This record gives sequence, C-alpha cells and structure tokens, in this order.
Amino acid sequence: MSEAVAQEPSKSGFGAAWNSFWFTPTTAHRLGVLRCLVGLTALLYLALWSVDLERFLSRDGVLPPSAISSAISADPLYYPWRFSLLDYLPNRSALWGFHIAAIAAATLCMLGIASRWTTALTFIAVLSYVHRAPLLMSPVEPLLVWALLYLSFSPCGNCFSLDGLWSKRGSRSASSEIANISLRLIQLHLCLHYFFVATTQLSDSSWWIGNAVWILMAQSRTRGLDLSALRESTFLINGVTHLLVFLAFALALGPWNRNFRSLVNWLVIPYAIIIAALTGLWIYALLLLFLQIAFCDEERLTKLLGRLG
Amino acid sequence: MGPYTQLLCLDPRFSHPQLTVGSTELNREFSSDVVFEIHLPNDELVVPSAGKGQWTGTNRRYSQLALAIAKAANEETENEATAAILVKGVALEAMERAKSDRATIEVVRWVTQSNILGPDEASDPNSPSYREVLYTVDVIRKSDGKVVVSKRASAKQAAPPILRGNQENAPSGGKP
Repeated sequence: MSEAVAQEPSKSGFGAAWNSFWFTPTTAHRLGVLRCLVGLTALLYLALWSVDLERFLSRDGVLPPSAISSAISADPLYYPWRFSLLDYLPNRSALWGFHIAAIAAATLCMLGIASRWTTALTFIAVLSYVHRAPLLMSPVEPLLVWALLYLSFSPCGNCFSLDGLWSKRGSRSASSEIANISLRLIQLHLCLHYFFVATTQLSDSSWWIGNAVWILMAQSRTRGLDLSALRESTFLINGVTHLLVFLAFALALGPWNRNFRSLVNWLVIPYAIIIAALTGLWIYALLLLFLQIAFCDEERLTKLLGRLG
Repeated sequence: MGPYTQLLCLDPRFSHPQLTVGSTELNREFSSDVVFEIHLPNDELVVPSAGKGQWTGTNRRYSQLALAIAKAANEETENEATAAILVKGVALEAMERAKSDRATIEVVRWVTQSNILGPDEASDPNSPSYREVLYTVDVIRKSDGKVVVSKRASAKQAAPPILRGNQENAPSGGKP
C-alpha cells in the first residue's frame, strides 16, 4: 500500500502547479470577449491611420520606404528585423486597397467571422503598419500585436461570434487546453507590460520626486486634456504621480493573488482614465481596459453577458 | 531571439517616453514637445498639424518624427545623413502644398515649464524663452528636380567671429 502511494506521481509541488497553470482546460468565453474588443481596437487603430495614410505611408509621402530603410540601418536604436507588406505597394491606389482590406479583416475579427483566420490577417496587417514606419510607433502597437498573435491561435471564435451563432451547435463552450494557454500568455504578457512600465518609471528621478505627471501635463502639443490649471496643486501632482507607479505595480502583481484579483481588476479603470487624460493615448488606455478582461472571473463574465443578451 | 521578438514586435527594449518620461539620458533631454516649423519663401510659417490631430495621433506622429530627426542630428550621435533623409520628406510635402521650390525647416523644442514658475519664467508656454531650435536646414528643389538639403550650423557649432585690432578689447555689447 505504502509502495503504491510512493509510486503515484506527486500532485503538489512545482511540476503540478506548472501543469495546472498552463494545461488546465478552460472555456473560450473570455477569449471570445477579448477577440471582439481587441478586434474593435485594431479597427479603431487602422481607421485612425486613414487620416495620415497618404501623408506618411505612401511612396511619395513624408516617409518613403527608402528613407525608413536608411534611417534604420544607420541608427542602432532601431532593429533591422522587420517586414512590411506596405513596402511593396507601388502606388496610392494599392495603399488604399490594402488599407481597406486591413479594416475589413479587423471588422470580421471583431464580429467573429472565420475568427482564427481574420485575427491572423489583422495581426499581419497591424504588423505591416508597425514595420512600415517604426519611428512612429506608439505604446499601442506592442500591446495590440501580441494580443492579436495570442488570439489567432486560440479558439477565440467559439463564443460571442457570428461563427458560433451561425453554426448549428451555437456557441461551443467546450473547455480546451489551447484556450487556457492563450489566456495565460495574454495574462502574463499584460502583467509584464505593467511591470516594465513601473520599473522604468522607477529608474527616472521625476517619478520618485513626484513631478512626472506635471511633465506629461505640460506637453502642450501632444497631451490629451489641458490640465495645466492644476499646476499649483503640487500635492495633487505628486500624489497622482506616485499613484500611477503604485497602480502599475498593483496591476502587474495583484492579479496573481486570488484575494486581490477582483479588486485589482477595477484599478485598471482609474489607471486608464489618467493615462488617456494626460497623454492623449486613448486607444492605448482603451486596450488596457479591454485586456484586463483576461483576469475576469469566467462565471461572472458569462452571467453578465447573458444578462446583456 | 532578436529576429523573432523584433519581427513580431515583442521586443521589450522599446519603452515609451510618454509613459516613463524617459529612461535614458537621451530621452530625458528630448522629452519636451518637439515640432517642425517650416518657413516658406513668402514669409509663411507652417507648423504641421498645429492645434489639431490631438486625438487622431497626427500631432504625435509629427512630434515623433521631429524627435527622431533631432536625435539623429544630435551632436553626440552626429547622424546627419539620416536627419537629412528624414527631413526631406517633410520639406517636400510642405513645398508641394505651397507650390514653392525652397523651404527652411526648423526642428524646435518647446522646453517644459516648471509647475511653480520662478520670477524670471514666462507664464505662457509659447513664450520665445521656451523655444529652442535643435536643427535647421534649407531645402531647395533645383530645376532638374534634384533636392538639396543643407544644414545650417547652430550657434554652438559656428566658429567664433574673427575680431580685428581693438575689437578684441572692446567690452561685450559695445560697438565694434
């Protein structure tokens, strides 16, 4: 009897925790919601490029591909590994054709039609915009790209999609390991993002002193809202600066503790609002809000969405 | 790992000064607003996307491009060729709109105000005292269509004026 117990693989310890973390089958409800919202963000991102498409990305625009190649090869800050379909478009008509196709892919991804394929196509399209002009990259792209990448190999079209609605079986809520792996990758990557933001902030004196928020407020050409009327409120400025660092750390570490998870999920709302108001990066703030759904409780989310019909 | 992480935009080296207010000295130096000011021959001044494009990102894109040019033209990096290549597109766009064959482009940094203003500091963030020209070029399109970009030396880089005779002893600000 005792021998049999000894030969049984241990159900505790690092190995079991590792297997449970990555390979416990889960349903695709959260992935379905994430696909809708990340698809919406990609759609907004691409739609906003319409304003500057010809100006920045056409061959005879402000940044022709040859200028980008020269700039990147000369500057070690930029990486040499890049590939953009936009580099191969011969004229403005082809550029607009590609742009409309990219918007269509993002729309289909959001609606959940041929979800895996359209998510992968949206991923390639967004990546093409990033690599066409890496000098213009904002904080949105790195988040958007990996969210689309992880969603593209998950069964994100099983729930909350037109695919699910049209299929005879309706939404497929079967659990799978691949759904869990994609979700875990999204969770980990999101937390690492917050962790890098927080630690980078701590490497700069303005976040320690407490005037970093004022520096963001004073960027009169790129800021979101003009909050310079608050300039005299030193206490408030210092407080918000330190609050942002605290929130970034809380969002990086808090979701891994079951007791704090639901509370920390709400903290993303003030964080995103402050970032959008200070920097004008509203798509980035929106994406942070959406990605936090990866940490929502599956049952509560399903109930809430059920109530919404 | 570089080829994979960089190709897939997963490289964590690229932190964003908008969120961190710069993690390196170079970022810190340029963390203020940087814009293009384009002077056209008919005394017209064009500031691309001035006062608009705040929410569509146009403003930010011009600002990031101006920042990249300023960094390339920085005295430490001295990557003049890159700065010239990048500024040419901005100049040509403005020249085509104005149907002009020449333009002077300035990359201007608006220094961040301190929140508690000192007695000598202007309250208007657009006051000339906060304006700092980082890079100036003249762009000329010749009749054969060739575009020439020539950099103007900054005050720091220019050689000191040659003083002759008694001028060497003249008090500063005095008549030569």
